[in-house]
Amino acid sequence: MRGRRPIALVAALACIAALGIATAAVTLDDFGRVLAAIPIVNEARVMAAFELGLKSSCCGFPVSETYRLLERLAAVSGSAADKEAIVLAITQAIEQGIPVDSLLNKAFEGLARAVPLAPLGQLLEQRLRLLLESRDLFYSRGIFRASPGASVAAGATALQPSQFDGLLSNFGDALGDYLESGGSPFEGQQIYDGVHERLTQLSGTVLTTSDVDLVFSRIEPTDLTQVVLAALR
Amino acid sequence: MYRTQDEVSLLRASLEGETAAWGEIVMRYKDAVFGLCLGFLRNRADAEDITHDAFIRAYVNLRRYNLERKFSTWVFTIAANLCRNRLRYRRNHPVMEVDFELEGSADPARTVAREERQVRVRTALNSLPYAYRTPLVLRFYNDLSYKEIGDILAIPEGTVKTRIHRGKAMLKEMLDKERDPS
Amino acid sequence: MTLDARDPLDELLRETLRQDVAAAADSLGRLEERVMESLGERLPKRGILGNLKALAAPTRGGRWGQLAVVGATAAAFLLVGTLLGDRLPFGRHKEPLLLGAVPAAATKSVASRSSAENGVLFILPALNARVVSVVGSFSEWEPVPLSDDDGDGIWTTEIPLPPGRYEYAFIIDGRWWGQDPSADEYIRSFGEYSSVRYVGGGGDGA
Repeated sequence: MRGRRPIALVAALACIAALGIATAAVTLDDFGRVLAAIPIVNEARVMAAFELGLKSSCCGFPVSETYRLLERLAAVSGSAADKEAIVLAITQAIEQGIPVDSLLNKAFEGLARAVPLAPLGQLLEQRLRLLLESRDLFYSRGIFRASPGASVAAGATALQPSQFDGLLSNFGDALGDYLESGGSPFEGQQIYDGVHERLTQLSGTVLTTSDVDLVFSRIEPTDLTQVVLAALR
Repeated sequence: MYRTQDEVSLLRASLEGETAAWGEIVMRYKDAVFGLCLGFLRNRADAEDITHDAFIRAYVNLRRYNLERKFSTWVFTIAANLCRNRLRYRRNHPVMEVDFELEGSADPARTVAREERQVRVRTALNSLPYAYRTPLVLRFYNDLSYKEIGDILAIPEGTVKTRIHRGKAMLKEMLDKERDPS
Repeated sequence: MTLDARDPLDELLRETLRQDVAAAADSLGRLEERVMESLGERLPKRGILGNLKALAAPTRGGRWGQLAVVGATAAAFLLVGTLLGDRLPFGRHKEPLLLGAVPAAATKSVASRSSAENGVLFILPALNARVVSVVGSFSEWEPVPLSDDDGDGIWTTEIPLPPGRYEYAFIIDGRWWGQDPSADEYIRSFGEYSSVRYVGGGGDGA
């Protein structure tokens, strides 16, 4: 089997590279065209958000991925209002400064599985609320602060903004997975264990171990029950 | 005669038609309102126009102002709304957009280190999207709380915090890149 | 626990913004006079209080009021959503595929799956299958083909992946299969199973 691995690798690389090449440098006009093809009603609001996204692309906004999602939405059959609900979930995330990668991933998966657009939009809205509630929990526990000072060493009282997207994205995503797997919002300890497991698996790679430790030293299972309930409200 | 009066007395006097009392209010708040407008618009002439209009609008709406609310937050909210309108207008009339430049500080021979740093920060700040720039201005120039900033910009407090820390991260990245372009 | 050092950028921002306002001091100096002049022009005859009443009447705030209503409606629209779960109408009828047991192949896959220098190996025994691919968060859920060049029913592909967490599923002749025996965990996604692999972290035996 070893002998054929290079061929498979080349094929896989070609498939993944094709995603990147198709939309190398996306502009605001490109977004405008693809939105017109969907089409959407709240165009001004969405365009303002994408303009904001493009201007802050230095800091984590996945421009090409977002554009490709819109392309797929435009191509798929379904009601424009349902498509717009999906676009608005992404729009709101950009407006609120929330990382959009986990939302994009769910949207891509839903489209690939041919999930009806209305429940897909509702699921994204729920995930957005989980992210927002998680973010507010982080701030209220001092895990992140708006202006965290200059120290980056272990033992800092708050994490640096560069950790924000990775941590929040995985945290919110773990809560979403828990709920969608049929978990009860009232089982705080179970939710806590699930999120803890997820972040621990990633510590040492995309998250640092001390960051993960700091998060769990400041939150309790009951906090997570409240986050989930607030997002379901 | 108005110099020593407290804010509530001045507002009451203004409501009774004493424009001079309103003049004193303008004097006390004009820098803060102008700083906010400059943060939104990046253009001094526009910022002055809107500061002027904000005080006019605040005056004609003064009867709606609840004296128990913080006056600064109220007048900032009016100014922020006017700035947003101006930005919307500019979007539809792109010729009107003028980059904000500060004359006199870019002469390298005369620029001392502190001014140089300020020029770099100003340039970086001006290239931030306004959604990220204005919370920074309200926080670091107007010294407002996150809650007040959220009220003025009509965004949740958590979003204010995120925009401030993202805005700072973007600034840092731009400043670092400038220092080390490689 | 150490206290955070003050961020020098905060101070620099303050200084810069103060400087910007100070630079406009000359033209701002007469602002209160201009405001009073404008008010005088706007409110010439009826007296200020009378004009205040007139100007503060409904039309002034009306537009903002309307905007607020539009904003609130949009917010309500965005917030409408119900808890998804078993009610989702897209649970597919799933027959057990041919993967109940994964003998030698699974052993091979586990041995070679931690990201080697070439990438992460995806391997699936699927006898008699005609087309096998893998979809996942690494490919925006677009199919990446697996191959079985020697026809032994063991399909493989290798994908270069940076450290992180990846959700995926196989598609065998058009049917989704989300329970890879080599996965670190399974999750339920849209009522179906997805596999999860951690690359480079604790889940990868590192």
